Amino acid sequence: MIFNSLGFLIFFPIVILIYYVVPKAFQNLWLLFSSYWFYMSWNPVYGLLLLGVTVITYIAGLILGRGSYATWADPDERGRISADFESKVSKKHRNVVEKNISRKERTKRAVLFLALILVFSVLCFYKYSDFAITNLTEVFRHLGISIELRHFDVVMPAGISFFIFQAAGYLIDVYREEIPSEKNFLRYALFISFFPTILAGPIGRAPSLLPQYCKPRDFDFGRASSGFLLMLWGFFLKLVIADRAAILVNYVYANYHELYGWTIVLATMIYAVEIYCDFYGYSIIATGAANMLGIRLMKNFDCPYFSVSVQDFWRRWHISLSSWFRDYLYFPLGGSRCSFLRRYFNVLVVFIVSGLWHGSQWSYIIWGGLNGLYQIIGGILLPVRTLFLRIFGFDKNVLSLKKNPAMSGSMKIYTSIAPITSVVTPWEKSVVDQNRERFDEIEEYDADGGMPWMSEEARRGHLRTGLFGMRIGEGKMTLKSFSMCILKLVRIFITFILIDFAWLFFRAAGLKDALMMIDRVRFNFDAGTLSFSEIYSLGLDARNFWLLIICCLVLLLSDYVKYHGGNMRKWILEKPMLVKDVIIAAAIVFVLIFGIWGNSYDASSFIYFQY
Amino acid sequence: MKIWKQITSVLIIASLVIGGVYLGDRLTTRGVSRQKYIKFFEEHKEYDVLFYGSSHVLSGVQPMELWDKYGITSYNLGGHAASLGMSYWVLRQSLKYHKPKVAVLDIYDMYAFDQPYMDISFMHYSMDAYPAGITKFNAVQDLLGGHSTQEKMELLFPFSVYHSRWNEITPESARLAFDKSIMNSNYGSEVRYGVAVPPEIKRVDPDITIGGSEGADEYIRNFVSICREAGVEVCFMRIPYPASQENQMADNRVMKLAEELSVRVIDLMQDDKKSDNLDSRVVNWDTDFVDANAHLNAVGAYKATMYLGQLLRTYYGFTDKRNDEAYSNWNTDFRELYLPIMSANMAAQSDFKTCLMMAAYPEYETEITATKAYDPDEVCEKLSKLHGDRLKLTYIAGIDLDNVQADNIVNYDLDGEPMYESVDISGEIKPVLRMTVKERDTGKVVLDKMFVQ
Repeated sequence: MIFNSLGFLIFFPIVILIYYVVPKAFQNLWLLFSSYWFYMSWNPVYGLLLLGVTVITYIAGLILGRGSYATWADPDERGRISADFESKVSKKHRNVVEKNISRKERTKRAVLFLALILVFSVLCFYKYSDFAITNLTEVFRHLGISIELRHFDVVMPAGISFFIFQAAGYLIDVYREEIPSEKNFLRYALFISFFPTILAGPIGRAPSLLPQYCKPRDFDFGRASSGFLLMLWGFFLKLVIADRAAILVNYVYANYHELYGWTIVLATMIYAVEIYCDFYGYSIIATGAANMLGIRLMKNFDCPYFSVSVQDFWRRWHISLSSWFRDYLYFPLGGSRCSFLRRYFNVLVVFIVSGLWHGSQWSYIIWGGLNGLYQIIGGILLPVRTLFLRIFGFDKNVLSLKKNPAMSGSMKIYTSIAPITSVVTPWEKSVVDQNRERFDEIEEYDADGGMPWMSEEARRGHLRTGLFGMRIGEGKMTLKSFSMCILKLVRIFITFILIDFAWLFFRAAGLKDALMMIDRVRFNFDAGTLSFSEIYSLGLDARNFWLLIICCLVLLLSDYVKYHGGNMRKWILEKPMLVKDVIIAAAIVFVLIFGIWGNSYDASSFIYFQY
Repeated sequence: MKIWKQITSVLIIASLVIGGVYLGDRLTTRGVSRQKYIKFFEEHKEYDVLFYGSSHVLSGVQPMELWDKYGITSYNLGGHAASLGMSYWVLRQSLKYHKPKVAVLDIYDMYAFDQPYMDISFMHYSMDAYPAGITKFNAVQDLLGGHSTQEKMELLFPFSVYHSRWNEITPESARLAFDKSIMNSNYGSEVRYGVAVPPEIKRVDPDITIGGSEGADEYIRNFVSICREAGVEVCFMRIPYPASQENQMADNRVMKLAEELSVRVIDLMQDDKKSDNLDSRVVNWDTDFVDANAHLNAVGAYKATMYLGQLLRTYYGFTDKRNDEAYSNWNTDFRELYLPIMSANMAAQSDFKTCLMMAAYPEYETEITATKAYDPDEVCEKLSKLHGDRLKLTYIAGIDLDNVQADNIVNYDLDGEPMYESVDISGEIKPVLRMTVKERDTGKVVLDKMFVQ
């Protein structure tokens, strides 16, 4: 069962209805039952695998949590929900490392090691065994040794990478004594199998999710409306944009050897939109569905294509996975508090593993490695870039994400990641502080970003950062602010090109295809043949192509508003009832008519299901 | 108060969505099924006969001719490639609207091995017009047993498949979507244009039968029992078609089952000559088919309908209602809908044999002026004979090009073989004949064409 299926459209309302009707004590039980039903509707046998992973990690968690002093009353829990708890985690982790390792500690470490080996073995068996066998056979063949290794040919359980990472994250958190172990098996099983997230994330964190399952959830019309709008926006992204873009992309990637080079460039650019809308669409449908059930999920995307560097991109793309790798792989490897060679090695390892996480193909590894390489090169060239920019009169901090609000874009970055620095005016800081309390109350309606809590005054203050950093709020536009804006747009553009080039490896059927496509672009670009009639022959007719373009502009506008702290969802919900209802109904009808669904299309599954 | 506001809000959204989807559905849906059924649903009086079956019935029985020549009211509910299972479910659905005196089921392909499945795209033709409901749900479950939910959804809510046609909407298509005057003017049947000669097939002994799909017998029995429960007489029919030997053996099996069920069979493939090859006393094997495999053309259907009308009147004693004031709308429809559209369709044909075939209808009289170069083949000769004294053939030295009332452009030569597109016969190419067709009652010219050899 996937979100864009009839089954889900029947399943979800039934789950919601019963969820809010049954006594509160049974809400978790009902959710657990629904989650297993949801998962097993795809393949009942793999329900046992899910249960097995749950039991193993539950028991391991109990052992790891014995004698722990950690409690759920973590004052910084909210910071973790937004995935920006870097300093806290690293500090605690360092404390653990620096402690004398007692015998008890050694036992715990052995249990953690064993449990992680067990669960990751399951992942490796299903995901990497055939890849490893193929490559081993190839290596042996090159060495002149003829060995016939049998392929397992197993079907990979849907969402296995997601729920295993979630379980592993929980175990490490318990081991680090950042949270106590969860004693209630039902609650823990729900944490692992929660149906909105089990197939493609966001990869939840125990500190933010498990406490939510302890509290009874009442039906809240406002929260349900907000969740419904999120789901609707997700369906728009998936059905209207992603699946329509997929038609052109699939056509070009399947027939690239017969097409001009520019079609590959066009298709790869459209693929950047497709994968964003596909995965972002899934994430916010999941977030919306969870919101309707009274559960908050972490934000998974934050206007990634407005990133000003590759590093910035990875803070905004698939945040739940990036932060998982950061907390459970990058920091243990030493993070950035080590020699620059070691730091770059760590970055490369993390991104290669990230590539491997996405799939057992060399093209994914190259994709991951390429992203790591971008960051290493970016780091090495930083002094040169800074010098270059200073020659043109820019501030020395202009390339820093943390110190320059004009560069960081979203207000949330001020409040959660970046320390409030002198670059933020005292006035802006005071507004943030004043509203922090309101933010605490309302954040749960705002799992997908935006700042409903901002007062009009604060919003105006924030918008002083203006168009990508161009300060226009004071009624005058200086040459400097204009230059900043241009610089930022250039950086956004360059980042997009780099990321999009890497997407080519991600999307191609294999490494060989990716390289052949690059050759095709180099030697058969044929720009002279570029015309609309040629574009319309790539699988999308004129009307469908222009609909795609218009919808992409809508997405761009929405991300732009979000990037600058606005919230279109809240804007809609605040409208008078009739206006709001007409907008919502029109949006539903729009998705139903223009969405790629039904039997006339080969409805696509979500791309991230295969990971 | 707050909760009522919330409920109202939900109801407003639901209503607007339903309205929007209805509008989208009307704009994007393929209208053929709706157009086929407009007259059927509109009629308040009960029909004498309803016809069920596949495309053989669809193109083989013309209810308007049955009305005009016998005063029998009927509707053709045959469907393209309709399986026996589909005919059964069309019967179930149609009986909710009308209970005819007789339900006639064509026996073609009743024992197809893939019963009740048929191509989904053809299912739309027979089912889209019926609103979603329990019967339709059961029909889809039965006809698409073992198929995906998505495929079933396609039939239950055709919008799920037609919404993809949004890019085909034009101002004209939007206007037509709400125009009730665009309908099947043949009371469900479809007229086929063209002439083809089927191959010769050996006749199979009526005692030789063949096995077939296990479900077929059950569908036939259920068809009969549903009719009888509804107080509708049931009758089987075999429309003339070039049946393969396997088809004939399957037909023989149905004949035996009909005997067992005491169901009358009207067999239009009976042959007086009792020859070894398949033939029919009703139609001419050389002139009355549109394709070599199965279907009757317009004149073949006309002949089959005339013969059928006579038998139906004899067997079931239908009274002639042509002069009954209550049925005056049928006369109006024949005069103002059926005939003008048939004339327009005839005028649109470019093949001489098709024009000759269409003009054989008793509503027309034809005048052909030909040069000595006109050399009709055997099929043309036979088609000409169908006209009787309504065809006047005159030989002249040359065709006058200046006095043509209609087209002077043709695409086909006299053998019905396609030439290259739009041959201008006013140039080097000389026409060999000019054909003028007029309505007998009004003298209105409906076709005036010239043809080259």
